[in-house]
Amino acid sequence: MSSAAHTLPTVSTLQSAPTVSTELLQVMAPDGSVVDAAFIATIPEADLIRLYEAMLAQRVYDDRMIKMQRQGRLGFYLACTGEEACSYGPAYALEARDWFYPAYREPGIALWRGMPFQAWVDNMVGNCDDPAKGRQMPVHWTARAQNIVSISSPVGTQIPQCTGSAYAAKLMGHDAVSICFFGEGTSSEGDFHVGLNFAGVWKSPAIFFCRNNGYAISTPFEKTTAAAHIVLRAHGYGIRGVLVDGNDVLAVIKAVRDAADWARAGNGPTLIEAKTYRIAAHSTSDDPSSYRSREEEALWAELCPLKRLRAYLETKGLWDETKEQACVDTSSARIIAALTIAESKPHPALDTVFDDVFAERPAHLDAQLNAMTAHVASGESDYRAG
Amino acid sequence: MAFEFKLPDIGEGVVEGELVKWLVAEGDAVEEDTPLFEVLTDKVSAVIPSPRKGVVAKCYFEEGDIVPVGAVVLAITAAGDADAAPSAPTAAEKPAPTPSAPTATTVPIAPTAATPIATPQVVAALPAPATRTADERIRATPATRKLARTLGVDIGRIAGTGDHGRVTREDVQNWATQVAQASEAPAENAAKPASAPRAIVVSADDEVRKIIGLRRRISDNMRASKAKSAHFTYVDEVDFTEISKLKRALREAGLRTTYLPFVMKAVVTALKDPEFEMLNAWTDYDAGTITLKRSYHLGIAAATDAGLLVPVVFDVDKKSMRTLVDELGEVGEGARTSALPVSRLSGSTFTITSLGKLGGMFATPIINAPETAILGLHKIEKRPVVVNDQIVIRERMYMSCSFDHRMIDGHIGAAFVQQVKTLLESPGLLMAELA
Repeated sequence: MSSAAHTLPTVSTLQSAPTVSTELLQVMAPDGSVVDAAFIATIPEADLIRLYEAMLAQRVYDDRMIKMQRQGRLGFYLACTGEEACSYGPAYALEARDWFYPAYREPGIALWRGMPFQAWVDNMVGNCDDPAKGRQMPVHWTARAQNIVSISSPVGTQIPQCTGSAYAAKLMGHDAVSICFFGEGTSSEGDFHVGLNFAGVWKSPAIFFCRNNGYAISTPFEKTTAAAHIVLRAHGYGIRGVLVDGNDVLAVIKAVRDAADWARAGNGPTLIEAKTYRIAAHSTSDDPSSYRSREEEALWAELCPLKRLRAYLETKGLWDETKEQACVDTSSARIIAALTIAESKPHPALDTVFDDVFAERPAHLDAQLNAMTAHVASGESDYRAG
Repeated sequence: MAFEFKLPDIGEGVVEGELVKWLVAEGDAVEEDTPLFEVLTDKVSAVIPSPRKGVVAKCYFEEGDIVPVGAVVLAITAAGDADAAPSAPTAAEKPAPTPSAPTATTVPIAPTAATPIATPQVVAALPAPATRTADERIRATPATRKLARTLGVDIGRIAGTGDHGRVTREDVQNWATQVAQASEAPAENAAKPASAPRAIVVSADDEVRKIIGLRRRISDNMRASKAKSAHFTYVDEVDFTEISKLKRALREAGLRTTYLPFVMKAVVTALKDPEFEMLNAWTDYDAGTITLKRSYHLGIAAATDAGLLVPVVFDVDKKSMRTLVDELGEVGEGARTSALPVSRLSGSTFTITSLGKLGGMFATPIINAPETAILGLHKIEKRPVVVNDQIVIRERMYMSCSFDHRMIDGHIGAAFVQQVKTLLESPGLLMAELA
């Protein structure tokens, strides 16, 4: 037998495989000291200050929303406390023409990309100006003008959608990348496989951003996977993989920018795993004290993304306690004013429930609308229509 | 016009919550966001902040009450509002709190909450039997249904005193008490099972406290244990002189240990003997099963300000003495400061309770259900003992071990205690068994 019999035929001519790195990408150490001076130099100081202000404001908004929920004024809320860098970073890194598919813990995408603040707050209350017309839970907003696709409660649906929109942009010759966000728990969903595999095969200009915050509600990371990292799965799809410190907003920006450059150059998708920690409860329906220790929470509170950036800014003389307090006060006044307005607005009109599924309303829905209108007018039951 | 604050659904589909603690009182001025009260639901424990600035005009519930979502919890009047006394909420807006005292329809004499109790009155009485028809649905929360199963009572037979006939936790407890008393009653009383339990007479200078929070959970657990298992307690005296020497030697070597790690090692060594496998087990009498555990997690009963807690030291058989010393320090401190997560407070396969200096001679410990045995440790003291016909001074301690006689026969329980005793009196033997 000749040795040639042992050589398998080549199916395709592969280029050099995209690399998967499990080295934690950091630009700034947890104490605010510089790790990658060259990268920091590419971000204007004014932008660093804006990023910090935005993340600090987010913390004030989250705190206010939780209180509102406890007072019975919001049905539900999800805070992003501890994970601010994972939404403000990518929002900063990408372009206005790019497409965003958030999970539900990325308010920074909406607010940084210019979704009107009042519209974001109107969604929490579910009033007549809620872009989702009061049909979704709070925190499930949408912002068409900002290329942000509506948030869905079922986890993972956004992953193949992102793959599809990236592939469409490629077919149409648009220079736009698509990015989606999900937690490490969602990586166990079938949609994760479908989305990453298709994007790998067809080199969709997509970015898969996994916020690994340690817990899928109460399920700890080690019960989600036996692997050390989610990013290792990039190997299996033949795509690029990057592990980034999710509490380092500059490292997140660098990871997303590199992924976007890679995608725009026609090389296909990147899986980014951002290591972070959900300091807040999963949602207002969750009580983390029943499944994790206070010591662990305290450890991560020290590593929080705000502390790190603030330490750097203070070293540079760009921030101080006076500015901190002023930012908190302004943000607090801003959110309270917007909530007051939002609460004063009426609910969406009842007949709007018949809109939006069909371009032209079919006859059977017309009949239902008429029946509903007659029933409400009869005064048989009390509906808070206003 | 007073603002009426209704309990919001703070956790996606929660129907009620226990008002754990009031943080304000009637007459207090509050700002927006001032913490008003703590509430505990099936999902979360939360502090509810005030949505309004004003003065608390009226609190409609007491600590320990189960408050339905949507019920008016308190009224807040704007500061300076002349209408300081709010009108009572309408019946539709204020579902009745799940009452701890039976309602007027079931009991002839029922004091209202506002009536000062000047003369002795009956405030506890029997619940009425259920009058629902066969196809009528039983209204009760999952937690209440579980309690009924735990106490072994048929919830379908209990008349609900709650909103819309809802069967409450108190209804179940009252019913279980009634059933227990009926079965214990002497023959001449058997003919009248509806006779009232002993009346609780409250005098003017008495103090009535609610059984809530941790105390209520302890009470449910103790009661479930006693209701289900057939306890017997076996006591023997153990000589600790050798262990005491060992302990002093270790201390001199820098390991500041107590007696407990030695006892834990001796207990686990005995439990691993196949003869005693039923003692490291969980019983599910409803399912008719006993699960023999192959891991050795010891519950260590600890006294805290709030009440009894049982933190767990996992895999005692696999840990060194040094690790046990460290872990006992951690769980003890954690229990005292309420810093232990729930995961450290459940999962034990056998429990040790130690009364330390308050140890006394012996006790009858209650098994930590669903386990099958518990070991109680008492005071170690020097006592005169006869050895080789000589009276000598030895360090001695009584151990009280309670067993579930349904599963553990008397001679097995006795042999287990003897085995633990032998290992403690001859630490060399214990060493030989250590993994």
